[in-house]
Amino acid sequence: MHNQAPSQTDRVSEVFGTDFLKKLEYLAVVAKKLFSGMQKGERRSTRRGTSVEFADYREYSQGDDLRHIDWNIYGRLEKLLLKMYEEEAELFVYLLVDVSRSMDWGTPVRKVDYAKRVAAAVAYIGLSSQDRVVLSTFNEGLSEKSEPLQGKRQIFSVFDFLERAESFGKTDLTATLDDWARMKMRKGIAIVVSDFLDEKGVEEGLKALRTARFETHLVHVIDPQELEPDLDGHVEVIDSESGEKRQVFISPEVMKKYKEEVTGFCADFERRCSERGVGYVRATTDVPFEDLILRMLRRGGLVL
Amino acid sequence: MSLLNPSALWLALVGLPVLLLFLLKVRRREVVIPSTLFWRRVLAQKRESAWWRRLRSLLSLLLHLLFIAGGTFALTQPFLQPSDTSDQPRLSVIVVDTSASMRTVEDADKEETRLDEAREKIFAKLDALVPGTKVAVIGAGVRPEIIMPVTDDRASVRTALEKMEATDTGGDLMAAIDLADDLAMANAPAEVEVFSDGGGVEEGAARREDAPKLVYHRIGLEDRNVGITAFALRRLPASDAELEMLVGLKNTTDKEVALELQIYLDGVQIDSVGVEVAARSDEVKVFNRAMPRGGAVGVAISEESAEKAGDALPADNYAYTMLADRDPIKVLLVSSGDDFFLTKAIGENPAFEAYIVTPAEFGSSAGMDVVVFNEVAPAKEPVANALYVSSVGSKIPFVAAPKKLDLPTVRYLDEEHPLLRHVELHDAAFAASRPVTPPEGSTVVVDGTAGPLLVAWERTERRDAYLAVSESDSDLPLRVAYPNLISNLVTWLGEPRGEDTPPVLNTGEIARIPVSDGVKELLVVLPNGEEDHVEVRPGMSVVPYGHTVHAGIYVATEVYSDEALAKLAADKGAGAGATAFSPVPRRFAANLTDLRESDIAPVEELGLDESAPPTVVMASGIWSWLASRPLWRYLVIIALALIALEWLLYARRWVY
Repeated sequence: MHNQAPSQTDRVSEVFGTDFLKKLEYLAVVAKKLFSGMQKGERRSTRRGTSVEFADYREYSQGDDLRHIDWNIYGRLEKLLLKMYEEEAELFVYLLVDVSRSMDWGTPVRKVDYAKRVAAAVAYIGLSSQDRVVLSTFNEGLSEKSEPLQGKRQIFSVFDFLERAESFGKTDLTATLDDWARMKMRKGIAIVVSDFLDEKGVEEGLKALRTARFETHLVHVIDPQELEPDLDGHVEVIDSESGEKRQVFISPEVMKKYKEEVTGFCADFERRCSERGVGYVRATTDVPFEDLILRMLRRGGLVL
Repeated sequence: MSLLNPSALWLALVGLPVLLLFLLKVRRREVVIPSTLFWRRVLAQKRESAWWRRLRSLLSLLLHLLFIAGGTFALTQPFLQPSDTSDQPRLSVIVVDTSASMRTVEDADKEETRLDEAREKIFAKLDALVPGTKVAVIGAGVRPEIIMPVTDDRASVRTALEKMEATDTGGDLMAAIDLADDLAMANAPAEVEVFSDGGGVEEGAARREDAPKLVYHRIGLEDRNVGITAFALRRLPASDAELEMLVGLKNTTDKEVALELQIYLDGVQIDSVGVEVAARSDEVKVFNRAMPRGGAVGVAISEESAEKAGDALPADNYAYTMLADRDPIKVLLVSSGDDFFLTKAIGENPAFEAYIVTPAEFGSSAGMDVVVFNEVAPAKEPVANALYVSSVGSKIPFVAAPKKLDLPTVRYLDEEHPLLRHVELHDAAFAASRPVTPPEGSTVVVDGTAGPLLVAWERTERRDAYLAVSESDSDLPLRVAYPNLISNLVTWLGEPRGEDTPPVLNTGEIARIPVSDGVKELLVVLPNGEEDHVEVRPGMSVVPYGHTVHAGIYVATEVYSDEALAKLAADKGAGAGATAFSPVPRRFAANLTDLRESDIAPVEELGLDESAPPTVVMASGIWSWLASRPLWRYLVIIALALIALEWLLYARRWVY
C-alpha cells in the first residue's frame, strides 16, 4: 500500500462540498462586478489605512500636502521635511476563525463548519483580487496561523488549513485578539468569525485590534436553536465548553425571557460594534453561506 | 359522622406512591448547549431562595395528598348523624304539592316545571337521609293522596316520584299537611317536609300542637302568568244562535298584555277575539259570538300571545263548557185572522219553526212543541203545550168569560217571572181584555183591573199560558216588548226540550252524572285520553265522579247490563226484531279557572298559626340547593378545586 498525493479535486471534503468551488467562483465574479470601475483608493472600504508604511524623508516644496510634514523634526531641526510612505501594493486580509468547543454545535450544520465556509469564501474572493490572505484559528488563544497566501490557486491551501482545524477548548477572545494584534504583521482587514460566547466579552480584544489599526469585521455565527431552543419542562443544560450544569424548568414564560435575553445580547453587540466603527454581520446557520457573503458584499460593510 | 362505605378508605393508599414520587428526585433531561451564558442571566433575574422552592414543593405534595384524602373520604359517603340518636327521625313524611301551579315552567329552555324542581330536591333529600329512615310521600292536590306509603325501599319511592304528575286542580295543602302530621305522629320521631310553592293554606291555619317540626321547601321563583280564571256562556234571549260569553282573565305581569282569545267548537277554532288586560289585574271580558250549534265550546289564550306576555303557566290558558244543542221550537199557530203582529213575532224568530193553520184546518197538534190559539178554541185539549190568546171554549184549561171588559189597567207584574224577561208593560194601554179565572196552581204573571192579563200554568210534564188581550185590543203589538213577550211565551212553553246543559265544574270537583236504569258501569274518557270505569250499583240514578283532575271535556258513556240491553233493544225494535241500541255519551267540562292557582308567585311562608309547631323555610336558591346535597358531593368539589389549584401552581410556576 502506498500513499498517493490527493488531487486538487479530492481535497474537496464534506465541509467544502463538490459545488462549493462553483459557489466561490460565482461569489468572486459577483464581487468583481460590484466593484468594477473603481480605482485604487476609491473603494468604499478602508484602503486608506493600508499605505501607512514609512519609507523616507524629503524636503518640503511648495504645493506639498501640509499634513505630511513631520512636525517633530521641525521642532528639533527647524527644517520642513516631508514623511515619505511606501505605496501599498497589496491588501492583507486576515481571517480569524473560532474553533472552540462551543462552535462544535448545531444541526444540521455545525457552527464551526459554517464559519469555515464563510472564511473560505471570503478568502477566495480575496485571493481572486490578488490580495494576500492570512488564516488563523483560535480558541483559548491562537491555535494555528497560515502563511500569507496569494492567487486563486491557493484556495486549496485554504481548504487544507481550515479542515485541519479541530474544535476544542474554551473561547478567550480577549487573550486571542490581544496576542494576535501584537504580532508584527502588515496592516489590513481583520475578519473574526466566531459565536462570541465568551464570559469576558469581546471588548478588550476589539480594542487591541483597533489600537493595532486593523480594519475589523465580525461575523457572528448563531445556530437557530440558540435563538429559539426546542426545550420545555425539566431540563439540565450543560455548557459545552466548561461542562457546567444548570437545572431549568422551562415554562413558556421562561422561554420568553430566554429569547428576550438572546435577542438583547445580539442587538447590544451590534450596537456597540457600530459605535466603534467595527463591521458586524450576524450569520444564522440556516441561511446559505453564499447568501450571507452576498449580503456582506452588498451592504458594503466588507469590500475586498 | 358515619360512613356509608368505609371500605373505600383503602383508597387512601394511593397517597403512598404519590408521596414516593415526590421523594424521588425528578430525572431531568440533559441537554448540551454551546454556552449556559444566557440561561444564567435568565435565572439570575428571578432567583428564589431554596427554602421557598422547598416550601412550594411541599405545598404541591400537600395539595395532592389533600386531593386523595378528599376523594377517598367522598367515596366513603360520609353523613352527619346527631350524637343523640333518640331524636333522629325514623320517618320522613314528604308532602309534594301537585296542584296546577306546580306546572309552572321555571326553566323554559329545559322545559323544567316546579314539580321537576321539587322532584330533584326530594331525590337529593333521599340521598342525604340517614340509612334506615323510612319515607312516605303524600301528594297535595285538590285532595291529599298517598303516593307512597311508609317504606324504606328508596327505589320504590323514586319510581313513584318519577311517575308523579301535577294535576290541573287547585291544591289543598293544609289537608295534606294534616294527613302528614297524622302519619308522622303515628311513627314518631318523624319529620314533615313540604315541597310546594305555598298555595292552599288558609292564613293562620293551625296544626296539631304535638305535630313534628315542618320544613317548607319553597319551590319556584317565577311569578309571570296570564290565565283564564272564569268562563261562562249563555244564549241571548233574543236569539238562540248567539251566545254571550264571559271570560275572566288574570295578568300577574308588570305590564299590560294584549291577548288573543281563540274560540273553539268541538276542537275546531271558529273565531278569535283580541283583549287587553292591565298589569297585575283580574278582569272580566264579555262579548257576543254567533254559535251555529251546540257542542264543546272552548276558549284559549293563543300560544303566541301567551309567550309574548311571558306566561309561565300554560295550564290555565284554556277553559271549556258544554253548550246544549237547541232544536228550533215547532210552533203551530191556529188563527182566524187579525194576527199580523203575532204571525210576525213567531214567524220571524229564528229559534222557532212556525206553522200557521186556520181553525178549520186544525186537526191535531201532534209533532208540535207549542200550539198557539189566537181567539179560537180547539175542539179538544191539544197534546202540545198551548198558548191561548183571548180564547174562549170549554175544552181549554182556562175558564174565560165570553164578554170582554173595557179599559183594564195593569195592577201587578211578576217581574221575576221568565215570561216578563225584557218585557216592559207598566204603561201599556189596553182597550179591552177577556176576564179569565186562573186555574188552581197557576201563576198570574200580569194582573189587571179587569182580571188576570197573563196566566202561566205549569203542571207535571205540561205547560199552558193564557194571554187575555188580543192583538187588536191594545197597543202592545206596537211596542218592543211584544215580540219579546211572544218569544218568552213560546220559549217557556217549548221547554224542556233537547239535551240539558250540564253545569261547568272546576277541576277536582265531583261531577254528578245521571244514569239510566239498567246501567251497570259508566265509562269515562278523560281529556288526556285515559279511561275510568265507574261501577253503577242497582238503583243509582246519579253517579258521583271525582277524578276530574284534568281540565277539558270528559265523555261518560253508559254500559248496560245484557238484560237491560236486550229489553231496550226490544222496546226500540217494536217487533221488528232489531237489537241495535247505542247509548248517547254525556259530555261535561272541568276547568281550572282558579284565581289562587293562577297567582303563581311562590308564597314566602306557609302562613300557619304562629303557635303551631315550628316551621322552617328553605327558600329556592343556591343555599337551599347546597343544604339539600349530601356531604360527599362537597368533598368531591373540594378535591377537584385542590387538584385545579395544584395544576395552576404547576403550570404557572417559575422554578428554574
